[in-house]
Amino acid sequence: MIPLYKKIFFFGAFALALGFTACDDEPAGPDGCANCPAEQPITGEYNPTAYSFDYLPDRFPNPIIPPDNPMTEEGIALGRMLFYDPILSRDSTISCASCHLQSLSFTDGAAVSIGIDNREGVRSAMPLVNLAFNPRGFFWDGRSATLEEQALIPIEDHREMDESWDVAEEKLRRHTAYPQYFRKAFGVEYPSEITREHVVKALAQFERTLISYNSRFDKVVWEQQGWPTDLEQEGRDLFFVETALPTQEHPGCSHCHGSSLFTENNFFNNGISDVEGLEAFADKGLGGFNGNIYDNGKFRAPTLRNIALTAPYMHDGRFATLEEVLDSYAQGGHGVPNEDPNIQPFTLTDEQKEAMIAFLNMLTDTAFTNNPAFADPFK
Amino acid sequence: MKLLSRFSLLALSAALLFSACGGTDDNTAPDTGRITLNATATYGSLPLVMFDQNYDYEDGMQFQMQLFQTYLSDIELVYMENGAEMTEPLLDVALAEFGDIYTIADAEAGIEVVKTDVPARNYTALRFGVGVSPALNATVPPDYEVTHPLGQNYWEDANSYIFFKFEGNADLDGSGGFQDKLTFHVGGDNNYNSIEFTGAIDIAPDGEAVLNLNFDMEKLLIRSNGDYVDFRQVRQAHSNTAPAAVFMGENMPNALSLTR
Repeated sequence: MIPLYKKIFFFGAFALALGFTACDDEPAGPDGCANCPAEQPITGEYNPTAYSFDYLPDRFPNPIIPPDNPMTEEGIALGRMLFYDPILSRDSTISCASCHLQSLSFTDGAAVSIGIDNREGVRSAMPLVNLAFNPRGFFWDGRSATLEEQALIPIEDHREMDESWDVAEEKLRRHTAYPQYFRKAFGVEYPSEITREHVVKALAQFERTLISYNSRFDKVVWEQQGWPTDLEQEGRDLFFVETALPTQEHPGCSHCHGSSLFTENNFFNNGISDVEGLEAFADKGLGGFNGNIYDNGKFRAPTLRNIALTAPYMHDGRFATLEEVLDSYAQGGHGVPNEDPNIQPFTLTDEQKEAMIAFLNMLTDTAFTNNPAFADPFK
Repeated sequence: MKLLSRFSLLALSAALLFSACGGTDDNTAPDTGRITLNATATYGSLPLVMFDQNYDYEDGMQFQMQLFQTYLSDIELVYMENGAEMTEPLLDVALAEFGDIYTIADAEAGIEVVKTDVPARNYTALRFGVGVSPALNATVPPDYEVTHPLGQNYWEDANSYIFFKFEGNADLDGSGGFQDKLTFHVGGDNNYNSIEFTGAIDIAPDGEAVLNLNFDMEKLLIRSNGDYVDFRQVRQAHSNTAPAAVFMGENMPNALSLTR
């Protein structure tokens, strides 16, 4: 039972707070209270510049751009700021970039990511590379159909930013600078028109520009600038050997990591979990999202571009090194019914393993990890 | 160039005029009907279901499926006009993918490959290729949107799409454990098969014809002379030339049937 004086105190404090809010000097929205001063329009031009992907090499497919979120320089610039600004988290300590570091191909080097108040996440931060070409949903389990949908989630995730979208929107509306940027990007006329939809559209635009296509592999194989070393070539042959003799053991990496993107963004049980049955996966992955038991334990095959930078590996970061990854695949799985049949045992000599690693290192793109257009705009 | 353009414009105008004042007095009767091509997969008479269904194979072996998918190219209807064979294109390429078929009901329903309006006619055949036609096989995934059927399933080093995939798990010794993984991927122009099913396909104005194309895995794996892909000997072929791949490529036409 709450004493009466406390009730009066709390009620008074609440009323006072409401009063301060209503009579704040900050402009209120058009739908604000009657006594509030009229909301001031955002000044400045709305004349966005279309963004061009004309730098993309022919070996890359066309990016997927939602018709309702065309790419503009202004939208990308805004998305870049929002990506690096911790303003979207409850206590302004965590930004997207906290778990997605450019130097690590936008991963964080942790097995599972650490969010607000040092709360531990459940999966490893995915690399943010070549997202513009993914038609098969985002996250390890594909649960968000678009980048825009994906960007809605970490803000309210209690293990990540733990902020409510209502509050995040209000922080942006009251910010001294952001309304101008939202006007430039989306043409909003009043701060109150800034919504989470604008935020995730801007974030998605920035993320679609995170394209890696300048690795040593690209230069040597596609642009014929130089030659691979013998070791790299041996690794390449092992990686891509798809037309092998039927009796020849081979890693078969390109089954799941094919194409110039080194992924087709499909989902697989890649044989890393030794579980009793399809219900026994600690993390059901795609099956946990779509409810299909045969998809339990399936996760997206991520791109291998910049793979040398994205340790530890797998959705839960269980492997610290690429050598451990190769050793796991060489076992050929554990006989779980929905393991991909292409996960088959193979043997690699030490030299072949070294060759595989040399080839994978060819996929490191320092032009990507050092691209100033992707860097923190506040530094 | 300008002269040609003016001539073209004149011809177009004349064509429009004749078209507008044409002799037909039937401006409302539909002159198109609909064609639907569905695809199903079976093992003999059994609907092909992923995972749960055990299929009895040769010499005491059994297997379960995880994936069957195949490209179909240059799908067209054939008809005769003034004694000459003509074709009505339906679709340049489709990927018939059975990997998400988990129930008998879904297997029996099959998947829709083509559903489109065509001129109402008495067609005489359905023609298509199993695999990716040589012309399309000379292209590469970046030529397409990533959502296009040809935006994936490509062998970089073999310069070919993977025409079809057969994947599953085998029980080779009757133990009840399906521990031996089967993965056959077949591609290459040499494994492309042109197929034609002749027979009346009559499409009346505003009418619809529904065709069902069935892929019988039993006939894909076992020839009429009794030869078969022996899973005890080979469980993997990713190739356009490996014997098991060629065996299946050659057998594919035998595995097809069309019902109207």
